[in-house]
Amino acid sequence: MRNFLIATFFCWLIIVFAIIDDDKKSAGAALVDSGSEGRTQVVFWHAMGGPLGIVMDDLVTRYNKSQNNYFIKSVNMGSYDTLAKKVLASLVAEEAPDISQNYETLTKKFIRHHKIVCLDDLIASESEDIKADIIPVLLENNTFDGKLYSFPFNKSVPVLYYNKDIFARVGLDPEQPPRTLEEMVKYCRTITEYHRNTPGADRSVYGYGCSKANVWSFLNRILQYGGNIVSEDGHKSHFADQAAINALAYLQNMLKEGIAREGQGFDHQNDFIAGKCAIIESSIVSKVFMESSIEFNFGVAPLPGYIIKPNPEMTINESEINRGVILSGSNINIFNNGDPKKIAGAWDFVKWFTSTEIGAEWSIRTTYLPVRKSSLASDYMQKALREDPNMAAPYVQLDYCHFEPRLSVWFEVRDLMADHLERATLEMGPAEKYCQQMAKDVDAILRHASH
Amino acid sequence: MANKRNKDWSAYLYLMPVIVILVIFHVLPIFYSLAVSFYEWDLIGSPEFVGASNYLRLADDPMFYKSLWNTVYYAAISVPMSIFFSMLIAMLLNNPISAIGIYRTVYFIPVITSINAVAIVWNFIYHPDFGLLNKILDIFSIDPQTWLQDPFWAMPCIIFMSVWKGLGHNVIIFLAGLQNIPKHLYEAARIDGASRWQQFRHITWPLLSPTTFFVFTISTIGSFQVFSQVYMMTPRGGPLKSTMVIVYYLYRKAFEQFEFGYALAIAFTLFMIIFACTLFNKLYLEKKVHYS
Repeated sequence: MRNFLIATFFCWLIIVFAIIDDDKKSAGAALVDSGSEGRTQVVFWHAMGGPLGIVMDDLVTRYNKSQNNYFIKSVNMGSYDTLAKKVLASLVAEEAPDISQNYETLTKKFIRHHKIVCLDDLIASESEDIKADIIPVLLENNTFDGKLYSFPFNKSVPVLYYNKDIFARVGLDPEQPPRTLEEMVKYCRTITEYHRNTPGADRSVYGYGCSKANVWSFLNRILQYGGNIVSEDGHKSHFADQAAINALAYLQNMLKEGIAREGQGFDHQNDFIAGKCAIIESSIVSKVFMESSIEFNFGVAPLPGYIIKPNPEMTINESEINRGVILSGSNINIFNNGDPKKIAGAWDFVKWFTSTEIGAEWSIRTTYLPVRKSSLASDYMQKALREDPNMAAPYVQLDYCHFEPRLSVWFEVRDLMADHLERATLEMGPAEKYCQQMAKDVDAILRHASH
Repeated sequence: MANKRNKDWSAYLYLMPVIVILVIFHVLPIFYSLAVSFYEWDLIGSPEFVGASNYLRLADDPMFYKSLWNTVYYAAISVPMSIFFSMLIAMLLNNPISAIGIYRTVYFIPVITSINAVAIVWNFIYHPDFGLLNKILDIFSIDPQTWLQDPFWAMPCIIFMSVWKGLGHNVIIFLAGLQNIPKHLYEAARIDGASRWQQFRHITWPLLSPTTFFVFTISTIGSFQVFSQVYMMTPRGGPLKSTMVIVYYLYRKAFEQFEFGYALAIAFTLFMIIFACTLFNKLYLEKKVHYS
């Protein structure tokens, strides 16, 4: 027994020393690899994983090679959730990163407590008028009290994905995605009924798929029905308005009819990939994740709109369609860590990353929106659009793109809305009931919140 | 006298490491939480004293009551169920059958497996379309259920999985308790012609009661703190918040909505509830325990 214990102890010692040695080696490797001696190190926290992370790492490496003053140390935090928690914890510990991705709600808190740098001051020293080149909705989204505090970084819009093979099979034109909400219902009905009634067809194929309690999709539809989300002063919601009721009833009716299905998480996306679901609404960024597993022809289209005042012939004129989509994704903040060299480095990187060429490349490779108008117009972008027509849908929607209210309690509100939406499609009662209750509950939060 | 004092000192010295750890990681945080629960704090700014307003808000918060009710529901079903099954299995494993070591290992494996890994596997089992459970029900021509997505079934699903996961731990404790019961009592009972049930009722149950009491107290405390499986299996607190338990609610308040003062008020209230339950167990239930 004693010999055994001694032998175990020695094994343990050997392993410990091996680990320590290995640690030293890899630490040494990191130092050599970075070549960061003499450069100002700028720490960048982000949440870009999978295919997006590969593009991010590639660009960061290129930036580090492109100049000799700054070294960007990029750290992937895994998810937006973890990132937000880490950023807050680091602020308490006074060890914040120099740059990080964040949502607008947090940005507002950072501004109030002077944790981040106002970008107007940095832009002022530039010879180029950067602000004039930023896509207007993105500029507005990042401007707080007239000042630019964050930079749009990875913003995306929702789009419609549709299975062209299914369209062709049921006799719909594969090059004509639904333009209006009514048209989408008709298409979904055609698709579902065809598969139910045609001998030999896969009976499980259905029209439209989405995730349960999808607040984003609900808000998009409110805009399409011509409604508003919250009042200008942020103290009252518009969820009891007719547009919101229509937006909810639309989904309920499709579900009741059996031409749409709700799934958990990414179920609808998996159904789409498996060819079970013909049309889904999802972020344009899902394209990057789905593309490699899709084995049929698929199209990417702008979200359908709604004709508020139909003409007597009931024809669809593109100009009469009221469309609306809401931005998603995060912005980038530069933290005020008291070292002007780090701030200068952070700004240099942000500027480089969102420049005309790199911005266009980032956008094409990840489908996120570019920051600058000049990126959209660049030859590189135009060439890519000609090669892949599915890429155009997000850019087309920029004309009628909005963003969610930037309220400090917005996450809480969103969560509450999700509860009501969930209840609405589970119980299938009249949409008015859920919308009125939602408005009441949300207003109670908004009234007490400080904005 | 001097000798006795020396002995006392060495005892304190041995206790020292544990006391230091308990004070730093348990006692101080409890008082710190209590203090912060009187503030409004989003981590970024400095805490702002608000008096008892977090507690007043709590008393008026429907979601707090809902999560409290869900937690009580979880505890009320999972604790008795766990005690019943683990006692039963322990009594079976207490028999001298061959390959007993393998059976004991099998029941203990879930305990040492990470709850996150277990939760992911059970997510597959409960999956409405491809899940094992619905496949099994299909054999008996029972309609498939949506399990974790169904407001009625979500909590029972979590309870069942949790009981299965924690079973091995309680089985080991019951086994130890069973082996402490002198064999000659059973022999005497058999000579007197006592049936299996009578042996259980009059020997096993009373002599096992200290163990049962221990398992009951520890399981109750643990079930009030249930979190991981809820977080992993029912994101957002389940369909219609049917699995929103109290620790998950305070986690959301603290780390998703960044209302630390409010979250700590919830935490402290939970602490008081657990404290009251344990006190009740100690003062009332322990009287019924038969210490031999």
